[in-house]
Amino acid sequence: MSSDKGADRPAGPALQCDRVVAGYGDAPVVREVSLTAAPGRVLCVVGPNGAGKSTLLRALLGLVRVRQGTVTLGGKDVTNKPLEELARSGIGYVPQGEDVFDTLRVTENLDMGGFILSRAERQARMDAVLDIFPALRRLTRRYAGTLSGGERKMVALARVLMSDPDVLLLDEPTAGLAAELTRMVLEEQVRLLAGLGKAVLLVEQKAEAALSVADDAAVLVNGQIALTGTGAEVLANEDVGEIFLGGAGRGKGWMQSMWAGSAGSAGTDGTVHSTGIA
Amino acid sequence: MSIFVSAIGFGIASGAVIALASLGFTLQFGLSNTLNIGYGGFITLAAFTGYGLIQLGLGPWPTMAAVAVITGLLSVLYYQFFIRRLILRSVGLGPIAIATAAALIFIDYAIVAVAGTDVKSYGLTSGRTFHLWDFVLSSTQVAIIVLALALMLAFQLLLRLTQLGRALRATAVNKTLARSCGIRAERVTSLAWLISGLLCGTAGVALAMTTQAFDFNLGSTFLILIIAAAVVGGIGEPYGAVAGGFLIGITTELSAAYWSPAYSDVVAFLLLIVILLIRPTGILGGQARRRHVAT
Ligand SMILES: Nc1ncnc2c1ncn2[C@@H]1O[C@H](COP(=O)(O)OP(=O)(O)O)[C@@H](O)[C@H]1O
Ligand SMILES: [Mg+2]
Repeated sequence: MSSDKGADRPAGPALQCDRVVAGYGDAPVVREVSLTAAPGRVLCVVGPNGAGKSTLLRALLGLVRVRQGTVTLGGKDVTNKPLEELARSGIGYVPQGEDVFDTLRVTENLDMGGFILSRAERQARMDAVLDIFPALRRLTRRYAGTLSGGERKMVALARVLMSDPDVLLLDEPTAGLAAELTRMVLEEQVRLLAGLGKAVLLVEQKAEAALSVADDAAVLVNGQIALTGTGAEVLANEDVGEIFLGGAGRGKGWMQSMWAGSAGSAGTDGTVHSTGIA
Repeated sequence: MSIFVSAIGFGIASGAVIALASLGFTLQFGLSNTLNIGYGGFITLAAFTGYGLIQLGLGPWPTMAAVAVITGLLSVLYYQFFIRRLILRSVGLGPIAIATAAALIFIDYAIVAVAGTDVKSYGLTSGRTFHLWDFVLSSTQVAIIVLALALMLAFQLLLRLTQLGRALRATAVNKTLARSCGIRAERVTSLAWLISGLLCGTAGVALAMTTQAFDFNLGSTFLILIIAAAVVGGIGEPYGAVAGGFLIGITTELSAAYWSPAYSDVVAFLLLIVILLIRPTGILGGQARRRHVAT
């Protein structure tokens, strides 16, 4: 994927995490994860169900406590800052489920997305966002709870764009969507966000579709980064293919064994890169 | 026919007070997922504070306004130092409800300690009566109906037309998502407890104004009707609380007229059970949705 789409815009801040450890109980779910979501690029984190992808995002957002390591936004330490303050510093978040306000109308959802703006800014922004998602124009009066899955996802993305955030964290934006919609969301909408100069951290279980739109990619297994590289490199990696792209589980690669719980040592693989990833 | 119509008239009058109180109660549930039994104590406290102010020579309507503000502020403190602490420690819905029941007992007996167990009365002269068709209502009752409707309308306009009101609805339906929009959900929740306290204080004084005499059991008895109205309407639903309030008010007055006033609470709960059997989410709780207590 081309990575210069937002080149004509001044670059926003990057969101970076450095050896972050986080979890709910005693055993950490996320272990020593280091990543960089850079402006104008899509960083995609793939991993099997339960790998800790959502927990990682929630840790970056102050929703799950970071016990070790740091999170920085544009070089400023924002570790464990409350979510509402992170939102006010330019981080947008679309959670995995419950990503719209069901009992609010579509316009009201957008109003909430632009909560931190002045009334005039909000109105201007709403026009701009509806230009990005023209299909929403005929749905503005509807309650979000009455929309279809694809429409909801559009509202969720439009809502998060209202505040024009520099960094976007998207948790499985294609979950529950049909193949065609999945492709539309990833190839058009997610790419569009990076094209606007935003740093996009995309978490996905649908590895093939997601990796094909990613500039940078990381594979999360058992709460640890098992592999990093460009989207294309990770996509081409045999082990990733085994695990995510329909492999029957007969592989003996190191990732396979990590997934099974016996952590192997990463880094020997020739495809491991550090491009764009801390 | 005239018994029926006059019972409806009384039902609207008592329904207006129940609706006001129930609106405050349901708002607390909507924002904090808290079934606040202590609300009954706040009703009693409002009635007795009003009694004290009237004894000091303040007129009934200034008294109502003053008590509304006092109860609103106490409600915020109650949330900040009691309810919020329990929520932050991940105490469940049931245990919190029980803790608030303890608060109810505490408030009631604190009132007894100060004001005693004897019966009180605001001693307001009933003033002019209004005859409208077969409705016969005192001027106080009419004023309370008008005031209650005005307050409920103002609250709806706040929820629907202002950015703050939308933030309140957004926080009620999904607190984490609201926070991700930069909404300071904790402040919004405190505001909701302030508003619910204002409604509770107004309702408590209105109840005392329209009751011949009351003692420290006023609020805990009235709480039964408040809860019935909130649940009948669909707990957490503002419109539901208002509809439920009038429904409970009219039903209990009808049963009082045709049967016996002694069974009002029984009738209210029969209605509650019947409606829950027919429509488990309450009249207006159609969207039956998960509530987020996540902080
Ligand atoms: N709220 C929670 N409390 C306790 N454990 C949780 C919670 N949420 C997720 N987990 C556990 O954390 C692990 C990672 O979950 P999650 O981050 O949701 O994975 P993913 O998003 O990759 O599917 C799982 O083992 C899950 O059971
Ligand atoms: Mg997840």
